[in-house]
Parts: sequence; C-alpha cells; structure tokens
Amino acid sequence: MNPKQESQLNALRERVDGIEAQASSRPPLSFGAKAIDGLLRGGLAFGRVHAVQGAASFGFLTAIVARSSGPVFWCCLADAREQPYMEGARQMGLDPDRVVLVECEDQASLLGCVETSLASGAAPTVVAQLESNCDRLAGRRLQLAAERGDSLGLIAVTRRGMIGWAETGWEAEPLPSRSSAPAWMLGLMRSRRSTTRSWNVEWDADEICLRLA
Amino acid sequence: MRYACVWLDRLLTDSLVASEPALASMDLVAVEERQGAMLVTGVSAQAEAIGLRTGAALADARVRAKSLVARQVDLGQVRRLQEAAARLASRYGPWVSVSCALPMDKLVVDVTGCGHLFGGEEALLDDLLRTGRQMRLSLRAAIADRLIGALALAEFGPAPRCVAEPGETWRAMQSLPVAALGLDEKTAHAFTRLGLRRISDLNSIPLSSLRARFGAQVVQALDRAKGRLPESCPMRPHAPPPRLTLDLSEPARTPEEVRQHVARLLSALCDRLASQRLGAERMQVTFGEIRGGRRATRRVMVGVASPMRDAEDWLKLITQREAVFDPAQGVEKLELRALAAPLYTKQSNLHGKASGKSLDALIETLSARLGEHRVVKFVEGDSHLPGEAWSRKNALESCRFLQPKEEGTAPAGIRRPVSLFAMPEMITVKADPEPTKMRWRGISHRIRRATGPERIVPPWWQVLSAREKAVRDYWRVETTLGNRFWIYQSHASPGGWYLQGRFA
Repeated sequence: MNPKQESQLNALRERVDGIEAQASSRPPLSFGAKAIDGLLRGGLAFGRVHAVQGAASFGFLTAIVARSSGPVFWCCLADAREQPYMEGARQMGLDPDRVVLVECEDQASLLGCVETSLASGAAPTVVAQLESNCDRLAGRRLQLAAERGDSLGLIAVTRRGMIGWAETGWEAEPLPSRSSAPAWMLGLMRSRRSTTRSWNVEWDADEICLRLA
Repeated sequence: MRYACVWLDRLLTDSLVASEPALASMDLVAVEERQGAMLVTGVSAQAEAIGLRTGAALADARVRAKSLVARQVDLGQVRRLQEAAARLASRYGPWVSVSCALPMDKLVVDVTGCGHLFGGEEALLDDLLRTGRQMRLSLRAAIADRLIGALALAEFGPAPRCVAEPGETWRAMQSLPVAALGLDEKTAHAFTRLGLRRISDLNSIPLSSLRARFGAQVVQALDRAKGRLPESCPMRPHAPPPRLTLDLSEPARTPEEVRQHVARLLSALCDRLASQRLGAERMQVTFGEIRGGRRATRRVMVGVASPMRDAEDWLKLITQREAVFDPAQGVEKLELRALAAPLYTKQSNLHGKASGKSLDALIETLSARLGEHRVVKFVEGDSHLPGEAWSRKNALESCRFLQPKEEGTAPAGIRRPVSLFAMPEMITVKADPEPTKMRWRGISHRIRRATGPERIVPPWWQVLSAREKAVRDYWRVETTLGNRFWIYQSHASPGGWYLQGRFA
C-alpha cells in the first residue's frame, strides 16, 4: 500500500468511526406507558445504572428486560434463595433464549462480573441481583462501567439503603390485581433528571408494555 | 446417553512391563520418590496377590516380599500407554474423552447406539477387555447412562466389567462405597467416620442436611448420578493433543517471570497450531512447582466459545484466574496442552479485527473467571416438574452450537411464577379446602384469591425418595396486599405446605 492509499484508508476509517459513534448512543428504553416515559424523557437511559427494590422487583425487572432487545446477562449469587424461572419469564414476554445466567460465589465477585459485563457492551442489558446493598464506591464503579459499554444496568437491591449512585431508583410493590395481569405500585424514588412520583401500573404481556391502572 | 468408562487399573506397572517385558512374570511394584522416601504407587496383579498395596513405603514392602522388583516410572512411557488406550477406546465409539479432563488412569467413550454393533453392550466390553489383554493392558470397564455412574462402576463395581441397563444407573450405584461419588479425600473420610459407607446409606439423609454438613459437592454428585443435573466431559474424535513442555533449570520465582514463560510457550504452541491450520478450544497449563518444600502440580484450564490461536488472547484469558501465576516457592516445570479444533478464517472489519466477537469474548471471560458451569443459558426440557422444566447448558458450548431459533412459541398454558425459591420454604396454611390464610417468615397473609389445585405427579419411572415421590397440589394464591405466591401441599407423610415461587 502506498502512502496515499494509506491516508485515504485512514480517512475512511475515521468517517466510519464517526458514523458508528453516533449510532451507538442508544435511545432510552421506554416503558410503553406515556405518563412514565414522558416524565423520564423517553424512559430508562442507556449508559447508566438503575436501582430496583421492593417485593415485586423480580417481576418488574423481568418486565423491563422483556421490553429491551439483544442478549441479557443476569448475574446473581450461586446460592441465591430466589432465582429467575424461565417459564414465568416467557409468559411475561421475555424470550429465554436471550438470557445468560451468571452465577458468582460472593458479592465481590458478583460486582466484578457485573462491571465486566457492563463495560464490554456486548449485552445491552445487564441485571444484577444483589443480596445486600452496594456502597457508593461500588455503585460508582458500576456507573462508570455502564458509561464505557453504553449499556443499561439494572441493579436489584434487596435491603433498603442508599442508592445515590443510581441514575434512577425504583420501588416495586405488588398490588391486588383486577384481572390476570400482574399489578404493581411503582415508585420512582430517585431520579437525577426529573421529579419523583409513583404510579399504579399493570403489565400487559400481549403488548409487552406497562399500562397505568 | 451411554457412556463407557475404561479404568486402566494397573497403568503404572503396565507401563513398566511395556518397556521391559521380562518384568511381566515378576512381583512388580512401581515406586516414586516422595520426601526422600520411596513410596509404592502401583502394584502388579501378582504383587497384589502376595499382599502388597499402593501407598506403602518400599522398605516395608520389601520386608513382606523378598521377591519384589521395584522400578521407577517413566512418565513418557505412561503417556504412550494412555494414548494407546485412547486409540483402543476409539474403536468402540466416535467420541473419546480428552486426556486432561479425567484422572490419568481413566477415559470415557461415548458408546450411545454402538452396543449392537458388537452384539450387545456386554459383548462390547468383553471385546475391549480382550483386546486390552492382547496389548498387555489391565483394564476394568463399565457402561452407564451417566458419566459419574460409569466412572464409579468401572472402579468400584464388579470386576472386570459391569453394565448398568438404561435408567438403572442410580440403582446400580447403591451398593458402591461413598468414595465412588468422586468426592475429595477429606469428605470421603468424613463419611466413613460417620459410618456412612455405601451410597445407599445416604438415601435416608435429607439433602438439606447433606448440603449443610458437607457442602454442595455431595448433593451435586448425587443429583448428577440421579440424572437431575446435566454433566459434561470434553470429548473429541480421538487425536493426540498438541503439547509443549518447558523445564526450567533455574526455577521461576516471581509472578512476572512465570507469566513471561507461559507467554513464550503459548506463542510457540500457537505457531505450531497455525502451521496445522488449527485453533484451540481449551488450553490447559500445568505448573510443576515447589509448595511447602514439596513438589506439586497445579492445573489451570480455560476454554473459549470458538477456537482461537491468538497467544495474547489466551494469555489474557488465563490471567483471569486469580493468582494464576503465583509461583509459590518456585516453578520448575511448565506444560501446555491444547484441545485443537479446525480454525476457520473470520471476516475482519475495517480495522483488521474479527467482528461480532464481543459477546463470545464476554462469555469466555466470565467462564474463565467463574468456571464454565457458572455461566449458563436455559434450554427447555421436556419435564413437567417446575424445577426441571428448564435445564441449564454452559453458555460457552451453546454459543458454539448456536442454532437458528424457531419462531414464536406462544406463551400458553397455566400461569407460572417468574421466580422460584432454590429450596421451597415451609409455611403454615389454613385451608378448607381452598387456602384462606398463610404464614410465611413469621408474617400472616390473608388470601384474597386462590386458583387451583393443580396436581403435579413426579415421574414414577425415576428412583426418588419418599418425599420427592409424593404428589403435590399447587395453588396460585393472591394475598390481600397483592403478593402472588405459588404454594403447594405435599402429600408425603408428614405432609405440609411449601412456598415454591413468586408470580410477577
């Protein structure tokens, strides 16, 4: 290759990189319910981590993941008391084929694996099922990793604690259902870019979206 | 699946005879120097007949039998014999276990559907043993449905051969000693001390107490034997693995030094693979090191989703393991083995890098760090039992055999929970006959709506404990607060109510 061709090729590479960089900033993941999406300017932002807690967090996480696309890395402890069940997940609209389950020995290795998964960007959505709270430093590390990989981190925290590191913090509690659809009280407890609010919602498994109840 | 396990029960002495045929008629023992003393590591059949055993000191053995002949083992000769045995085994089935996956003296052949070619599975094993005898190899063999069963029956079952009929593996294992489960020495010893000698002795103990006392290892081994956990053993059409060794005259004493040696070996091995147009699916590094004043070997194995031969990438994967290059008191010897596979050229992108690799790479990284069985994908099984409806498959392997998906199997049927408890939790329930109240973790819930019962009957064709055999009536209940639980009443004696999962 002569120098002229080399420089042409380099220019081409830069142009393609420019186009790819634009394309890679993903649009936020919407919930399908206008009131919530409107408040969050479109939905959950990629390149950020979001915290979820409450008794219905398993269902809520499955719902968000069902709305996303691409592979999902679901990280939990190997001896977690509660584990995702694919039959139920499929009934909520999540394709089990998208899920890769990552089982770790302890919280430290779990956080490490979540960080690696978020930073690699190979899976747009990464779920972490933590058994205890993660501190500010760990949360900040996850946030930086999500930025690097432009991926969406969903961190389930079982015990109530500080979630100042998260872009948004959610609390999902079950509500008595009116029909066969799952119903939750969804509280947006923390949000960096909006006010906080709560809604009563239902999950529509046919349309794969949230509806205000 | 039908697995045949071949145990080379006298591998060490057979290797001595192979290099010195005159030894065949003598009371031969193989010895090894350990901590300055000579230890007996293998005995021939004749030596065993006069009461010699492995593990004894050579001096003690000599007192017992004056006629004894002792020789030190040549590892190269042992390997040649292993290779010969693998070649022999490959006559009986297409897939033979790769040599680094099992103990040195065992190998496994997949003989699914091969039995009738030899006139039945017994005849297959007879033919194998006969050919083994002609090669002056002492063998014991067993065929079973499960890998763990075949391994156990070959070593502990009736000699010289044993066939567990399809579906009978677990029953055939009942009378074997507990050590046949492949436990580590400490655990096996603990069982003996408690008077639990046979596998059947474990049946009366609840799995939860086994797990609490001995850890997950025992329960997993039992589940594998019963066919409830998937098991896998790397198997390939028989081909000798590319291998490189490095003897260090001056032991490497720092992690950096060890790393450099491994890197150099890796690049040499990858060059060799390149010349044969091969890549590696698995790489095993064996460190011969000094630990606590003694020579010890340590093995590290990593795998990848699609074959590769980039030495730098392999080094990165190996580095994922914690303290992998820790030299202890010095590394004297390094060995590298690759499980080779054809490598096809991938289309590269504008920057000269292979594209579409990052998902594979992430799965590889996590598998190398946590172990391959910790990074899994879900595969739909054909069982109606909630715990077994979805089985797990190593993500590393499933992305190797990625298949186009069938479109749209609609979520049909009865509602299922979105999460399951690893161990169903005991609850108290008031029912007449629909559940109206339940108490879980000390909190009472009033039940607003109950749907059921749905009766789930465990498969009668499997060997199960009385508790597992019991019929269960499942209810989907919703409490006044909105919690949606999946609970069941077990009809075992004593029966009871359990919480199995949670709906969305």
